[in-house]
This record gives sequence, C-alpha cells and structure tokens, in this order.
Amino acid sequence: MLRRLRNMLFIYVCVTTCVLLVTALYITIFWPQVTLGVEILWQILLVSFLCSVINSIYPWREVGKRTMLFIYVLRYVVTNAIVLGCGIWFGWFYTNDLPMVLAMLFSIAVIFALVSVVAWKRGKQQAALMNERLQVYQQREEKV
Amino acid sequence: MKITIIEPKDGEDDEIIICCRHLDKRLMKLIYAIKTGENKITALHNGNYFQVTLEEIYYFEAVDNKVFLYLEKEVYETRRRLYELEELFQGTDFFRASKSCIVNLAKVKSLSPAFHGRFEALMKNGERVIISRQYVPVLKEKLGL
Repeated sequence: MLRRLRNMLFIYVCVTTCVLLVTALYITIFWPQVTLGVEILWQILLVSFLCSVINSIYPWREVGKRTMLFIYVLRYVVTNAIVLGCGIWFGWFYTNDLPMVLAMLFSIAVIFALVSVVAWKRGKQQAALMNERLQVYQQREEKV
Repeated sequence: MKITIIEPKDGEDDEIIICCRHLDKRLMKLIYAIKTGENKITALHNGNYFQVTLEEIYYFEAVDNKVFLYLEKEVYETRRRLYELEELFQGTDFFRASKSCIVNLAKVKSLSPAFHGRFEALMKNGERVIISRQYVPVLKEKLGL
C-alpha cells in the first residue's frame, strides 16, 4: 500500500510540474489579457490529482502484456476525459474553438508522454541499482 | 561451528535444533539440504526420470497445470507444484518472479525495466523472464534494497 502511495505521489509531482508548465504556455497563448484568480492553482492541483490517481491504479492480479497495453490506452483516454471535462467545467477553453481544443489535446498528449518517459527513466535507474546489487549478490554466493 | 548430537528420550521424535545468532545464507542452504534430503530434484525428461541439481536450474515455470524446470538448454518436467517449490526453496537463490515463474537469481545476467513497473530478467542462457509488478518488492528485498 505504501509503495502504491509513494508511486502515486511521484506521478502527482511529475504531472503537476508538467501541467503547470503547459498551463503557463496555454495562458500566454490563448488568454494573454485575462487576470486569473487563485482558483486556477486549486484547479491545476485538482486535475493533476485526478490524473495521478487514474494513472496510479494497477490491477491487483497479474495481467498479461496485452491487458497491460489495454490499461495504458484506457488510462490515456480517461486522462483526456478528465482534463477536457474539468477544462469545460472550469471554463479553460471554448468547445467551439478548434485551436483551443486541439491545444488541449496536444498538451495532454505531451504531458502523458513526458510522464511516461520519466517513469521509464525511473525504472531504468532502479534496474541499474538492482543490477549492481545482483553482481554483489552473485559474487557473495560464489564465495559461499 | 559446534555440532552436538543428543539422543532423544524414549517416545520422543528425532529433532534438529539449530542454535544460531542469525540465519545466514550458509545455514539456510544447510536447512534446505536437511529438509529436502539432498540438493537435487527429481525431474522427467523424454519419459525418463533424472536427478537435477539446483545449481543447474535457471527457472521453474507453470504451464497448463504442469511445472517445467528450465536448464541451460533442456526443459524438464516436475511433479511438484509451484507453491511447493516456492516453499521448499525459501531462503535459497530462488525467488517468485510471477504467478507462473520461480527464478534462480544466481542465473540472472541482468535486469531491465519492462512495461508498467514490471522488470525483465535476462538469464545467463539468453532467455528472458518477466518479473511481475507484484513480485518486484520480493526481488528487491532479496537484493537488499
């Protein structure tokens, strides 16, 4: 459970950072004149949290490669639904403004890809550490 | 190590008591050897039974209610269930890697990340075995992480 929470926190930090950067860009491009209230920060935190929860859910039982891929695609679709749904609710964009909608979709894709890459890098770091320990383990075993 | 043999009283069962400060690898292997009788497992290959030493085994895999043991090149079958093997090899180089696999850590060449928190073990014979997300903590613990 603690491991899952730690993993979720890691994703949350990544997502929030990326969302903050993309939001800054988005506001600069589409809402340059507008004065924003403090509520935008809470909105960002909420959307990031919802996306993190969705992207931290793993099946308890063991699943195959195809199911994993399906879950990955499903997460992407649900993430899109959350961000677009919240975006409409909070009035981040107009649904009849195609460039805005496309920019939102593009932002989601970029953030999703970025977080996936960061998670992959993290896995690689873990693997490197495990390989180091594996060598130590095997050397110790040979002595025994 | 001091070895003391005490004759049990009439009606008492034979018993082995290990008196130690902590269970290290050497002792665990010794316990395993006592429990199993020897460092071998009976396996079926081409209709004949063979005794296979644990050091030869790369991993065990359960497929369609049958358990196979994979050596460097050969594949043998064993009548034992995977959970029995897991219990039997507790404290040895073997660890549960997934619902259907038990891997010999001594035969793992390297580890790499796979899709979604899983890891892939490249065995010394070139085969690849998936370590599922649920069992990664078991491996980490075994490696002292």
